[in-house]
Amino acid sequence: MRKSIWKKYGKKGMAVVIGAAILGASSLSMTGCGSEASAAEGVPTVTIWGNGGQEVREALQAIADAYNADPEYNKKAKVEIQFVVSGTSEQSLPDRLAAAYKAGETDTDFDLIVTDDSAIANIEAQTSEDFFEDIDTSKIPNYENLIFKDNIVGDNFIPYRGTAVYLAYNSETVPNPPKTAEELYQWIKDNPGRFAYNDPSTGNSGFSFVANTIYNQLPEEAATSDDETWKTEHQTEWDNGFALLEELHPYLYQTAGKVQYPMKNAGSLDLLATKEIDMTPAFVNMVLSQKSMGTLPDSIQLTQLEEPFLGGLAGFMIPSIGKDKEAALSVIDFYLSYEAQTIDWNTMFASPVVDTSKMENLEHEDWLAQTDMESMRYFSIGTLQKDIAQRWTEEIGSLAK
Amino acid sequence: MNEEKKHLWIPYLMVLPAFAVMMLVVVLPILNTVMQSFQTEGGSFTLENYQYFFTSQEAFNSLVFTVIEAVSTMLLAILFSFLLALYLRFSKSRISRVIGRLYLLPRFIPGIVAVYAVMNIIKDAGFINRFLQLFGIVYKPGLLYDMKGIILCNLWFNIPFSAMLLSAALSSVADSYVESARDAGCSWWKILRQIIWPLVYKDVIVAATFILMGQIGAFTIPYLTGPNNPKMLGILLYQQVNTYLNYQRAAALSVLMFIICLGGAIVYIKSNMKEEVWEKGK
Repeated sequence: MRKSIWKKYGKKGMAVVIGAAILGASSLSMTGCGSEASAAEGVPTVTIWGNGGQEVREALQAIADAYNADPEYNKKAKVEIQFVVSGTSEQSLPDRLAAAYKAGETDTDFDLIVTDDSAIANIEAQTSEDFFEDIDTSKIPNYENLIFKDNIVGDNFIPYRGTAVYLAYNSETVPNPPKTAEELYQWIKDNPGRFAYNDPSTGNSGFSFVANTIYNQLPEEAATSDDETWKTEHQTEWDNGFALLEELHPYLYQTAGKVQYPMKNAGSLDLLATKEIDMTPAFVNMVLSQKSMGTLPDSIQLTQLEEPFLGGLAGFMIPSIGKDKEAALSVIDFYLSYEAQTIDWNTMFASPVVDTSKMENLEHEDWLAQTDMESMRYFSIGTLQKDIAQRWTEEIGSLAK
Repeated sequence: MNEEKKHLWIPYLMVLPAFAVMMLVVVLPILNTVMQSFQTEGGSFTLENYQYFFTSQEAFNSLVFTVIEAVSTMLLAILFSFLLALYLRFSKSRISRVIGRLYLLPRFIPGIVAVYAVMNIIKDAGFINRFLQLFGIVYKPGLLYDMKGIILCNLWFNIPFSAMLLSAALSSVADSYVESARDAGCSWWKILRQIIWPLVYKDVIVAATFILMGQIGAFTIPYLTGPNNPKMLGILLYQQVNTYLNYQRAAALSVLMFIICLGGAIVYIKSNMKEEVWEKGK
């Protein structure tokens, strides 16, 4: 172990050195107590690793608890959640995976990774194309429940939760929200200072607004392709998009005498909650959760444009460096059950990936209609997303001064 | 003799764990970062990573912004904390005793909580704005997402910190010095300048350099409360990694920030090494 760190150190970054050290220590200790516990109960421990907001963690944990309490499933495995909450100074999950991979570990407790599909490219770039194994869906009975059968992401990915960005607006001040992108742009100009989108490199709701200015001009299939030619051969569309963003810039939310792009998805929602703005693109589940907690007033409504903002899927992946892959499949199976999908909705208003009419005991059932995942505009452009964020930082972010 | 020899390795053994950890998680990564900063993505030698920061207008603006922010924070924090420490040291009132207990409280509050608390007060729709609305005044402070916001939050953290250092320093000023000076007819200003200041100025420099160096690499506060542009160096560094995925350039910026901090460290060490004339006989 020690030797491998020293050997690797010469070539790789400091993340690897520290990461490998931490991983070495933690995986040793965890497998230590893990095998002890499972020896007593006779079932393997499946560790799910995730990152993101606190609400995602709570929902994952709630479903894991249900799994461990279920007399059928808990014979097959015991689920544990390891979660890296975003915004903490914790080393990020992709870094940890890369560290374990580059240190040549093969028997880790990275049994299951739960991730947004948009983050896959980044992990694979730091590890390898075949870092995640193809998943045999015939071993997952509940896969039948899924409404996204034509797996857009890949055979190594099983979606369990949808994410979508909608336009959130204050219905008291905006009785007739825009219905198309053009109407929205006009509204922004007619109501200076009342719209904001967050810095796209800090959150995907702002990114979605930026991406739409380009992708609304491109053919539909561009949104699901990571092919570089959608940039290199479509410079005009990209230039148009950024010209539009530049045109809208002076009409956006201002503070301290200049335009300010809020940081993170929560930043723009904060402005909406305090009524400093009337409209912003936002993740459906964030808006609904905040409404149910009372931190967003009831007057905040959701609507979708004719050219929808991006949608995506969060799902499970099995790293090749994990231990017990059979047991991991039973865990995925449980997360696709109607029971688990209901828990996910009730805990964080996650958009279900199964037929919602078969779900029972839902809270705020009427809100489900607003999160209709079947009309989702699926968005997955790989590293082009990075290119958009970069160009935005250089050309648009720099205007805010 | 034999007995002595046997225990010769004990001190080394005691130092070893700390030394090994330092080597592994501090020294090696620093060397690695320096090496990386002179490399292209492919691994060949280049100066381009540094060139970028010396020619980029954005990086220059960030540097200026960071220096202004850091120096303002340092001056204000030192001024306020010195006054606070003086008050705590020389006032015997009840209020001073209460403040003496309370002022350390911020150090036990998690940073992120404190930042959000301050944000809720100073933002345009925050407490200040709402409170004034009660009297029919519409006032937008314009503090958040501005350098003023960063400085305000930093003062929240740094005043208690440097007041703590300065209080410890002031406790070395014996009452008898002050009393005898006052008996000899010294004014307060003279006592401060000629008796108190020479005894504590080294600690003031220590506190100042700590604050200054902390600001160069600051991240959380400017990330949440700073403007989009210009950015502080810490944010610029984060952006190189997070948005541009350019690890080599990030390494170069880290080295540059390290050099800036090194300047502070040199001042700190020099002022500590310098021996006053009156100290020599001690």
